Amino acid sequence: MATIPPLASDWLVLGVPFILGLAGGFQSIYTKFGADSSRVLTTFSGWIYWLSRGLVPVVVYEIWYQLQDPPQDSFVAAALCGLGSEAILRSRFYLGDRQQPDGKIEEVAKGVFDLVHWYQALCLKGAGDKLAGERQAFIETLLAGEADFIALTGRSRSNAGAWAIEEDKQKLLNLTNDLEAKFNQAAQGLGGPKLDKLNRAFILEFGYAAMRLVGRRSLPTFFR
Amino acid sequence: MERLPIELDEPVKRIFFTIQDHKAMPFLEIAATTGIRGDELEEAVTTLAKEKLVTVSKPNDLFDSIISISGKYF
Repeated sequence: MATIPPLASDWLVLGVPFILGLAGGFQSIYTKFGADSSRVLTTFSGWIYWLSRGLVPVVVYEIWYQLQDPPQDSFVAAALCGLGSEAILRSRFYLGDRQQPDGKIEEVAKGVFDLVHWYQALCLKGAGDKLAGERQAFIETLLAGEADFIALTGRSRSNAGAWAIEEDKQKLLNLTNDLEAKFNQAAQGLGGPKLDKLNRAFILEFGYAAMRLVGRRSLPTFFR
Repeated sequence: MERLPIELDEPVKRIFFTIQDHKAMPFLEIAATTGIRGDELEEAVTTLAKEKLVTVSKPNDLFDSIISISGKYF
């Protein structure tokens, strides 16, 4: 009966390419999502992407390990597999120039990076949609009982006084005043369902704008 | 970055790059971020969706939709 050969004589060595792959994967996530990167890792597709990026250099190392006779572990080879596979995954080769209809010249380059880009879009697009859905659910739940935009800005203006840092307080007051002025302008001559819709749109927009300024945790204090 | 297939007006371009930056956004979050709202925002998002630059989660209810960048421009 055929036996499965051991993946490594020293399991610790597999951690080297795995960690290097994870670092490269997280860097890609950070490039796409910035400050929201850690939230991406709370989504299933984000995790799958991150872990799979960690596993790619492990597989490369494993191929190198199994090709030896007899197989022998090496931390140096493990590190080289980690760094090397990251370099290959980011590579694109210049193929030539192409003239656009507007006359501009564009470089044509193809490589493994195009495959990585496709894989990123496949996995991380779902994560982006999920994060946007979470922000929407948070704001809509927080402001579900609000129907009157002017009443909300009145309360929020008083609540802004709770902010200890003068600069933050001023930003919140500026936002409140700015949106209130725009609402009053847009609401002129409106009534009935159209005014209700305008109220709802400005209430939710106010929620998203304030969340950008103070973050999710402080938002209930601003709108209570 | 992948070139845009058409020339976009300045506000539409601003909305596109905002969505590209965030990857996906609720419709009214775009208003909160760009300051473009109402009919102008609706028309811009409809144009972007028609050109397949973004996808709209609920095409019949833009107001309540999540707008995400298409895979090609992710």
